[in-house]
Amino acid sequence: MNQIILMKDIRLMLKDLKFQIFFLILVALFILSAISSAVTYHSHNDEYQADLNRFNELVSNENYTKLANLINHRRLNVLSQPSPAILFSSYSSFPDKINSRVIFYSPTLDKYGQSGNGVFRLNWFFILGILTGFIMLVMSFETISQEKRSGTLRLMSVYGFKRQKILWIKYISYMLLYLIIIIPPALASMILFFALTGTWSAVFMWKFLLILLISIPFASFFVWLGIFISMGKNYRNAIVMIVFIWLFFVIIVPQSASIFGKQLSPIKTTTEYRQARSSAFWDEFQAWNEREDDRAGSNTPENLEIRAAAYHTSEEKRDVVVQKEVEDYMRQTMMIQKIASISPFAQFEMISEIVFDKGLYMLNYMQDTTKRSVNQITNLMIEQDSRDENSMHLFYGWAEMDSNVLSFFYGSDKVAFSHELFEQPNLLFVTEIETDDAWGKMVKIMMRLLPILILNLVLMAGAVVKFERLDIR
Amino acid sequence: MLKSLLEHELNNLLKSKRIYTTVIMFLLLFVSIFVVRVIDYQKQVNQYIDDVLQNEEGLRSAENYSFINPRAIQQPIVFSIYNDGFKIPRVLNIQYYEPIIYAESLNEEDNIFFIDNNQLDITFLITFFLSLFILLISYDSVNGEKRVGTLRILMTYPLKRQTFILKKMFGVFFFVAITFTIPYVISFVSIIYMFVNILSINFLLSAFFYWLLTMLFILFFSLLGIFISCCSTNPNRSLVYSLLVWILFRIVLPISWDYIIYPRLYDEQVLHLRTIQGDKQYEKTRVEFDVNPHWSGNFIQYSGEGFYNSWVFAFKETMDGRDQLLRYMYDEVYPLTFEVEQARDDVIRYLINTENVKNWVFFFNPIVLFNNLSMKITGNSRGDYLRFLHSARELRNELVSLGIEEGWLLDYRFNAYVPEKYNVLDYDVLYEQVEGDYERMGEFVHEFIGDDRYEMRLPVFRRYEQPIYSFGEIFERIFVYLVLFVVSIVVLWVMTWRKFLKYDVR
Amino acid sequence: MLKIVELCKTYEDGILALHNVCIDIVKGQIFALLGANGAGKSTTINIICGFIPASDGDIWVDDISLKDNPRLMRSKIAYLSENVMLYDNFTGYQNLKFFADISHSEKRKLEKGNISENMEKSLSQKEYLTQILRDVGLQDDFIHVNISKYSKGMRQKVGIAIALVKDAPLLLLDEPFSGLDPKAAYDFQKLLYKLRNEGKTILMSTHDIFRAKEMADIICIMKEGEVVMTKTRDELESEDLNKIYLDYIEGRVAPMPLNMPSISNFVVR
Repeated sequence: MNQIILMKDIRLMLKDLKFQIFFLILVALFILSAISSAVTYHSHNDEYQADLNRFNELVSNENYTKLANLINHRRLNVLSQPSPAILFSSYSSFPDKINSRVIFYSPTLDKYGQSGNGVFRLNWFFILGILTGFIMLVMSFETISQEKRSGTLRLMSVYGFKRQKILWIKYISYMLLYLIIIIPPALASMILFFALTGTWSAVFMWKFLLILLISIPFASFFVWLGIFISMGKNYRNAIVMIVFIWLFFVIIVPQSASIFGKQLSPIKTTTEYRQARSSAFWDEFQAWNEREDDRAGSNTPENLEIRAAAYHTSEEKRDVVVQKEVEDYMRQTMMIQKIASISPFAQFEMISEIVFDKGLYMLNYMQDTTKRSVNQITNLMIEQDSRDENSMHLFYGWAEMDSNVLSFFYGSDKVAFSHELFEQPNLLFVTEIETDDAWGKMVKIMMRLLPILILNLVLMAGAVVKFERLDIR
Repeated sequence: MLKSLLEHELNNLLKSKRIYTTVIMFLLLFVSIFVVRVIDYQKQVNQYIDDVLQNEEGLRSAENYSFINPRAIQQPIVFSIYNDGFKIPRVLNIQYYEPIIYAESLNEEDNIFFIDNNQLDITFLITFFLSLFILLISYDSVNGEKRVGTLRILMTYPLKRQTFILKKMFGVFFFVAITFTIPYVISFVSIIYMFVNILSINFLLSAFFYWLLTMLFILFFSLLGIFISCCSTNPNRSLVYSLLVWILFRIVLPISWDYIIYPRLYDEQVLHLRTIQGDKQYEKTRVEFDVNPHWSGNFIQYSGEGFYNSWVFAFKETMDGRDQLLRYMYDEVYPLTFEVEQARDDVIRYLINTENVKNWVFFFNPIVLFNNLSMKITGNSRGDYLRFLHSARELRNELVSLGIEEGWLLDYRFNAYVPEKYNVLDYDVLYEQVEGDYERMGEFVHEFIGDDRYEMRLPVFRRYEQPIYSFGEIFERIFVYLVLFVVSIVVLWVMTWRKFLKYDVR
Repeated sequence: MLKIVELCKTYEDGILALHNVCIDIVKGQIFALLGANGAGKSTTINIICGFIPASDGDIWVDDISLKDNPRLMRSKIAYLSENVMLYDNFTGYQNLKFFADISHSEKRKLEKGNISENMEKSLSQKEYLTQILRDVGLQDDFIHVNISKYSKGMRQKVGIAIALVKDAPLLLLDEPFSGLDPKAAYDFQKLLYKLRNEGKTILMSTHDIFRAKEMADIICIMKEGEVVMTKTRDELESEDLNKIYLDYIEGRVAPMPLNMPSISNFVVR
């Protein structure tokens, strides 16, 4: 019985011209997205390889890896590998293509983790997150009213089964339809992408399948919405409204999130931050000067230790300010994200960030990893430096500058910082960043999925109640 | 006859509930986007005033030429309310031996973790929403009448079919045109009221052309909606068709250009031009680099890339060598900046060219056309960016010739001021230490040198202002594409008309 | 067979649609409901079908009460609406097959496996359904054509075929003759006679007084939600139904008393 109605519903939809058009469009878009992502992947990969070669070259160069010179470079290079995740979304900045440099002494202020709204790019996010919601809505917005108009709803309800059943079966058939229109082209797109880029990896296959699975509750939300509308009298007016609601969530909410987020959680201008940083440093430095009779400011050999210590503490002071600045940025970004998460599309994007290790989700891990690496490198350098008898162990920012003075007065035997080679040059660039394990990710994904599941339930309950009361005369 | 039909058509439209939904949505969006943009513009103006004050304050308080930091600062374009366009950074730091090729933003809030690709402006509203509105109110204009049965009755009257289509089109067109024009004029007047000194012939012309373009846009989409309505007898189906056409026009076609066609056609050439530019820049750096050891013969230590400090010390030692170097720099390096700038201009011109090609390719897609043309009208295009760069270069050249004339250009202070031209990495180090504070950098150098040989006489600095376009200039910019626009409308009109001639009215 | 007792219906907006309607139909009868538009004919049928709930009163079909077991009762009725539209994208055959399938599986479920012996046992389902479509008079050329190309009469035929396939003892027809051409109406009438002879009970609402007089065993006139007259064919034999109808509708005759004994007592056929 259920099966019969289900088969009827599915056959009806398959015969629907709308379905056929949408299916063709989806096939075309999926294939196009595979091709365009493959093109982007190749160019990113080329750049990545070039960067990698350059760093390998640098690291093999003795001049670069001398401890004394490393203080000058003071760079931790964070490279991120291009990954097949680009098929899902092109994540405009991070970390498909990034080469950020983390300065040993300063807290990291390079741009390395950004969350943008990549709505109108041709990739899976556009198809799964934006378009299918719209398609399911357009497919289902007249389903009940059509049955009502053709009189078949009345005919069906004189058979002795619960009326609800019609609704449930409609829902199930739409969800099956969703799978029919999504899974074959998606798989084709995935295989095509893997073939074009030559990057077959089982992990990413599972990730893509997982994201297909995750898209189901989102599609279901729109199916319920469509069914709900189709029960109204003025359903064509309703679909106009719904198109606007769709646009509202896709465009207006994410776009205005940044505007409101900036209002609610303001940051200062670049100049103000720059001045704050500068004055934090110079105030401390001046304090040293006053305390030490201007000895911190002059670079005679006698004052070298004091001078170095003054710089050291001044930089620490500045670090505190910079840290606050970073917190400001983070707070604002999180606020923007929070506002944007009203939209189910943004929710979907955030979940995808967890799945593919991208965007803001990655930002915290990125900071942790780089901080850890920087500490590790610094400790190693100090340790190595302390083994060198000639080194005066002036391991702070301006030591190298003072080393000129030092050698001017003492000749070249004494150095500010050891000229030995750094033992583990491979630490100087990071290509992989650890994130949560599978379980941790699952929990986070479930937490993000919860609102959309609740919305589903609410709409479902609404639709069932409305259908029970529906006047089908 | 036509008049009464038109009247009837408008009355008919006004009776439909859908119209009220769309109009209310449109007005709400218009108002909210307008308010957001005005607030944003106000912020830009404030930043601009800050920048200008800061610049002038810097110039006033400078003790010698090391401390001055002339900038070309562009007034924010009021039409960014209507079209944000190609976002032009507003501040250009003028540094004497550096090519002026990139502008930067100065007093702005810049969240490093968040790219703000906000494109909410009135153009977005028009290309995104208004196009959809028109399709949504016109998708059933013909087959809806057929379904109700009034089409058959109408066809029994002595009425040409063209006239019928014409009144349908004008019905939709007038309605949407009025819906757009009223808030547009109000917004326009309120801008004049809010930003008092904004009113200029430039502004009025831009506003007029923008309006004209929108009218053409509305005309095209009204015709498109009626065409779609003629293609199917079922209103539900034509609703789906019009949504699909909209997706095609607004999303699929522009995306396919940006991500599929464009990279194939132009990526290689753009990369080539950029490489030329990079090579020139490198060449210029090498000249400076090579020349260094000659004059700073008594370097205390030359350690890898960190020789800013060495250089500072070198100042004290060899004043003569330094003078030679400065002369050399002026004769050899300064001309190279022109070559770099030329290479950069080539890149920008090429990009402008590709945009024009896009207009030609998508002459049938008014969304693409409208986007590009409105950028040109409102002065937010890449071409205007180029104009800004040129203007800043003119200012720089004037300054250089003034410096040569007065003798301060070939003084050390100038060079201490722009140390990054020697080495990029080294510049970064210095920049971090003084937190990008050029005054500090100057002080720092001054600390070692401490000498005031010249009396400070500031040259007259100008602010960069948006040039005023003549009617002819705007017309020249957009004329060809306007013709394309009109041609596509005529073609669509003929298609619709012929389609309706064969339409089965039973 | 069908017994309606003191059926009342008041809509949410306070309009009294039915007031104490009592109808009793014996198996194998054709029962015609006459009345002006808005008299409550369709409301009665809608309530029997379960499309709208009754405010008061009850309905029995084969001693199964609507109140006690609505689902079982519904399986006893087949319904044909005034405007049969059906699924546009399906052919007549596909439409019929769908409804045949759900009625069979439903029967299986209700009777827990005891499928009554059917004609189709000997025939395959396809032949059986095609046969039914032929029986109701649908041309062979049209059986596998999309419903959207059908005329109203043809759709009506598919509708009645659906009702037949359901194999329910009671047929509810809502204005079945409206919009049919004379030939189609005649064919349909013959079909209904045939069904009556097979033992089906038919309740139809109609505006067609002459056809009602010709066909119906009992005729009932409704006015403003009340039954104002119920007469058998024999009683009306010599009378002018048209005049009676107009008299009742225009209020020239007082309604028949409501608290009459069960009319089945004096109905002889």
